[in-house]
Amino acid sequence: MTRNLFPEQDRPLVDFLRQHRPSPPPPARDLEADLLAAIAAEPRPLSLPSAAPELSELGNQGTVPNLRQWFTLIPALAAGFALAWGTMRPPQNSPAIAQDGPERELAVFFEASWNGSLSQTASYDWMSSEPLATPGESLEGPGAATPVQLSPPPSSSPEQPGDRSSIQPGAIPIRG
Amino acid sequence: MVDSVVNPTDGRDRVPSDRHLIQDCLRGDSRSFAELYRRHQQRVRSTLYQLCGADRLDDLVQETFLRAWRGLPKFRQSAQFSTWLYRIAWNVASDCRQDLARDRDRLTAMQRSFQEGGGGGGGGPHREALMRLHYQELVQQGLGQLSFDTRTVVVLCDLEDLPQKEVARILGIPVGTVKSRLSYGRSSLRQYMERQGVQL
Repeated sequence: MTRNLFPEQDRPLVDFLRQHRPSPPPPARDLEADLLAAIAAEPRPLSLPSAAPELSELGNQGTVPNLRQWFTLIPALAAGFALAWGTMRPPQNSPAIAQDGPERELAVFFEASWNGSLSQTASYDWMSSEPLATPGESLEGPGAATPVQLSPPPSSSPEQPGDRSSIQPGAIPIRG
Repeated sequence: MVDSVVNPTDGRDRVPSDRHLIQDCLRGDSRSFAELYRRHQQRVRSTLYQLCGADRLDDLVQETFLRAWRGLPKFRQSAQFSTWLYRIAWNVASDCRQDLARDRDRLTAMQRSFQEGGGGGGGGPHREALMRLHYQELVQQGLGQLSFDTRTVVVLCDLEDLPQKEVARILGIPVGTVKSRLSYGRSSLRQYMERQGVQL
C-alpha cells in the first residue's frame, strides 16, 4: 500500500506530530486476562461452517453469492419460474368431438349421459331420500330450457340415502 | 498489520494469518482471539488514546475487542481485519466523545501546572525531557482543539500512518473528504503550534 503523500510544507508538521505524539499509558496488567474472561462469558460466535469461505475464495466475496444469498435466491428463482410457466403456458385446446363413425356415437352417448346425470343428481339431497324438487319443477332456474322430469325411485328394494342406483335410471349397468 | 507470514527459512513454521485466526475464533477458539488481541492492541490503544485520552482507555480497548469478538461472524473476510478493527475502535471512540470536553479541561490544567512549575527553567537532559513532555502536551492539546471528525482523520493518516484510501474505508467517507479534512486539520494544527511558539 502506498503511504500518504503530503506537500513539503506539511512535512515538518507531520514529523513534529509523529515525534511528539503522546504515548498511551501502559495497559493494566490484567487487561488481557479480563478481556479473555469477558469473552469466555460471552456466547460463542455463531459460525456457519459451510458459509465460511475457504482461503482460496477470499477476495472474491464481492462476486460470489454467499450461502445466505443462495437461500433467498433459489426460492425466488423457483417462484419466478413457476409464475412464468403458469402465465405463459399456451391455452390447451378443448378435446375435439369426433365427426362421424362409432366415435361420434360414443361422444353423443357420453354427452347425453353426462348432462342427464348432472341434471338428476342436482335434484337430490344426498342426506335425505326426498328429492328437493317436485316433478315438473326445474332446479336450473328460470332460464332453463327443459325441466328435468324426476322418475320415482324403484319400490322393489329399500332405498338408502345416497344410493346412486336409485336415482340413475339411465345409467349403464355395471356387469359384475 | 500481520496478514500472512511464512517463515522464509524453511516454510514449515507458519505464523497464522489474521484470517486463519478468525476462522479458529469462529470455531470457538478464544486463544486465537488472544493472539489477535496481542497483534493489534497496541495500535488500537494508541488510536483510542489520541482520540479519547487516557481516561477509561483500558475500558475502551476492552470494549473494542469485545465488539470485535461479538461481530466476528459478520466480518466479511474480503476486508482487512485491521481496517475492520479500526472501524470498531472509531465507533467506540465516537460513543465516548462526549467526554472529550472533560479531557480538554484536564489537559489545560496539566499545561497550566507545567508552566507554573517552572517548565521553562533549568538545562541539560532535564530540560530536554521537560521540553519533550511540553511538546507532547502541545500535540495533545492541538489535536484536542480539532473537531472529532477532523482529529480522527489526522490521527489515522499522520500518526497511525494509514493510507488515505484505507482511512476512507474505515470511516465510510470519500477519499476527497479525507483529503479536505486532513488539509484543514494540518492547517489548524500549524497555526496552533505557531501560536504556542513552535517554529515549524
